[in-house]
Amino acid sequence: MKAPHENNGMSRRRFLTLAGGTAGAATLAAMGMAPGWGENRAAFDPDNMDQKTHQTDVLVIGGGMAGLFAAVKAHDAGARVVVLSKGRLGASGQTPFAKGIFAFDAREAGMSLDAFVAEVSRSALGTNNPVYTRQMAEHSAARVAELRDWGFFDSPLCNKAFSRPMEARGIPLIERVMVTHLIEHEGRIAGAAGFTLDDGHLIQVSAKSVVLCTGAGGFKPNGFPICDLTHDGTVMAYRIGAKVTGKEWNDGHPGQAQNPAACFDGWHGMFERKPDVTGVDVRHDLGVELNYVAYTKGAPLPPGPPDRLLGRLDGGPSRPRGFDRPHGPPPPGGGWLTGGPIHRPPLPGADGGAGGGPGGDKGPPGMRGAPVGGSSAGMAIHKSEGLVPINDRCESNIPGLYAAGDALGSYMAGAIYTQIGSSLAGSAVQGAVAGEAAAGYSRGVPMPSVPADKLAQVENEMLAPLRREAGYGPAWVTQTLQGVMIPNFVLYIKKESMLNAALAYIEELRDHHLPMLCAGDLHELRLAHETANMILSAEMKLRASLMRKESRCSHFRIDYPEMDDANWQAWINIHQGADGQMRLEKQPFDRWPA
Amino acid sequence: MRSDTDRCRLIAAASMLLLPPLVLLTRGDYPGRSLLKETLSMLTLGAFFLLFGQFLLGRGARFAPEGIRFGRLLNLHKIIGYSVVSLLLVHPFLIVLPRAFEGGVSPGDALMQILTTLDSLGVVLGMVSWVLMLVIGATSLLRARLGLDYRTWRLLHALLSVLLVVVASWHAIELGRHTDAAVALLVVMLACAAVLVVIRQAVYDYSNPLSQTRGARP
Amino acid sequence: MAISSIDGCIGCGTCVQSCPTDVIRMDPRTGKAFIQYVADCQICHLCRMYCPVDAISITPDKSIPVVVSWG
Repeated sequence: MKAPHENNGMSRRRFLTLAGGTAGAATLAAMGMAPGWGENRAAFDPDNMDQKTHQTDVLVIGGGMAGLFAAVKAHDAGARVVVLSKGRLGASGQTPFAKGIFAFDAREAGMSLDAFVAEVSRSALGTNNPVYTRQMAEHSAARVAELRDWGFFDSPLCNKAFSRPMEARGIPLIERVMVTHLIEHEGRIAGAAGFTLDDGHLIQVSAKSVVLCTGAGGFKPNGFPICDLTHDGTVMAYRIGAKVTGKEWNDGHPGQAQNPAACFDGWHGMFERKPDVTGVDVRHDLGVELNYVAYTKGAPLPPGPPDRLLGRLDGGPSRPRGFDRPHGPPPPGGGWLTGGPIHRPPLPGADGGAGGGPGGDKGPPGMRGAPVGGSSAGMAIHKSEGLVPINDRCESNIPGLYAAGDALGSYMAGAIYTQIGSSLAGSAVQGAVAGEAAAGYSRGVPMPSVPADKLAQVENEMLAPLRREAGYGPAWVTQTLQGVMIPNFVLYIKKESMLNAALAYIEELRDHHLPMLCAGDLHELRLAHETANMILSAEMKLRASLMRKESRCSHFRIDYPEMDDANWQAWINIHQGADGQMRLEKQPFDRWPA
Repeated sequence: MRSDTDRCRLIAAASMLLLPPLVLLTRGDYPGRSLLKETLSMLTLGAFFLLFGQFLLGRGARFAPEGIRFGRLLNLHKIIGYSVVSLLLVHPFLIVLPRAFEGGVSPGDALMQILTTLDSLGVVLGMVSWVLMLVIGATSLLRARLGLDYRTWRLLHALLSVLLVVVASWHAIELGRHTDAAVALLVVMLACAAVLVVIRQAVYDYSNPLSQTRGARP
Repeated sequence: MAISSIDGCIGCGTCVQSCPTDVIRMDPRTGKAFIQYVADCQICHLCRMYCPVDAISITPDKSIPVVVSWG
């Protein structure tokens, strides 16, 4: 076994000296940053890794809100559970930054459950799955009550509260594991495999069922804390035949021109707040509006909410009647700061001028000013992208494979932000539903036994980037991908020619660069797999965007600016054909997949 | 009048000790933090460096300014000793205190994390120092009540103090946020000086039996 | 440059665990955390908020490697 990691022998002092002084390729190489193409001198020996195997009924992948509830509820339903997480429990993905959680209370809302579901559906222009909308609202209060018991609302940090129910139940949790493969055998799920980031063990888990709680993802954008989310779950599942949906929708969060990469500062200290509970407040938060105005008028944008600007422009994204105040006056109880599907950051200048954002005083001077787009590039609307559910139990088309939260394309909220705080609540609710369903499923099936040659193939694919003697560094390929996908004229303001142009680039990365990704250590090995996942996700986003020849909710085609109900009362599902090609198909809004 | 002059001289002598670390700290390249955190750091550092001065204000002092009565010297030794020990005993709590005013891990959880990081040499050294300080402080305060006779106590006090200065210096060098090479060198030099003062006194006491019956009683 | 320094580390490893993007690692020689992959820092401050001794300093600017044609 090797030492926990290969330290390149650089002290902080030396590091600072180098970084401050002699910049350039030599420095970057010494710091372990991937030089792009070139010789790969692996500092980690892939042929000398220990393997650890586990067996369990339910394997939960992901340690955020959905993963927590999936694990807890599967355990409580009598299943043996193992949790693998890329980061730390409650400290990775989007959960640490989600500060509002929705709890439906008919009496307090003065609104029945039916009325709530109808109101969400009206705002979502039919894109939501009302079964999941209802499920989220119905169970939200119970999940919030459990979270309260565990101390979730007592700290801005989730790890302690999340650890409480896990430790009480003795659920095994393996953190800092990069899962690279879902394993399918004889037409059903059989487990997963990955490697640990610190000590470089191979981890292989045989499981009767798997719950993907791997969150959404993006293109490691600057300005949104999702750089660890690269659609790993979606792409792993796609590769073993699962159907994926929702790739044409866009999260349109803006960032700030000054220090756009500083997520913490851009959110004005919101990360340091304790979470709280939100009530019914159905809206139609359309992130593309700002991007449309910026695209049409150029930057910088004049201060003020984008709806005011939109009135002066022809065309552009439209809203359903009654939801025409995108960033209106703050609702009682805090406005922007309590609001947002994952507690969205205030728009710079949203309330009447630079620096006027609530809580803005916590940001250093210069953090505000003109908004810029693409801060969450590559991410769709919460709960709209991910595995296609075949029923209301979060089950995918692969027997035994479940998904919950942002890894499940449940369309709980539709293809647009409709209810403040429902994203976090939905993850909790769906995690619980999926956990119980997976536990039930695993009672009826034997433990799968995967042939050794299949496992050897998985291991080979997993470690290939370490073994390549030359190739492309994942950081460079990611940068190239970002350069293609993040500009506002590709995914935000879409048109046929640009989508095709971008697709040509992405196909090049897929066919030529992805097979040549190399890694010098375990960190880079993780980056190599993340990069490969982002490339496939980019292809899905472009193909789905090309296919949907209309504009609806957060998908805006400047060449098809109108909503087309005759042809597009449908979601787009993507799967891998027998020939390995990406196949796209429609699924009508009111039906489960065939 | 005379006592006032004494006091001034003593305070001047004591502040001489704080001068080098303060110069180093203001010249160092440390990331800026909140006023509360900086204040707590400076207080803690000041207390730590005054600890070395205690060796010069004790019986081993041969550096005291001319004309200062030994009794006054010991008085100052006691005042500084009790204040510095009190401050350093709450040092672990002061580290986590600012967390009460900001988002993040709570002070209690932070303290638990620190106290359970037992594979860290620096943390263990800190714990040993803390216990040593507590024992030094308690035995000084309660010498009579504990029934310790003066000479035994004096020996104990000297031994524990030497132990403390070594362990605490090691702790500060190992973990100190402000410990760069210059500060570390200063700490090592001061610690050596302190140990030398005690050794010198011990040698003097051994070779001069008369001194064992004399000396100021605290 | 994103996460910029770790001063006064006690070596508990909490920051290594808490970093979503795997920027920080433990140095086996010193037993302390050090910044190994600064280019991947997403400036989310989780490491700082979880650190029990508040040892981590972070600046709002991003360290971005130089762009080259292929290497």
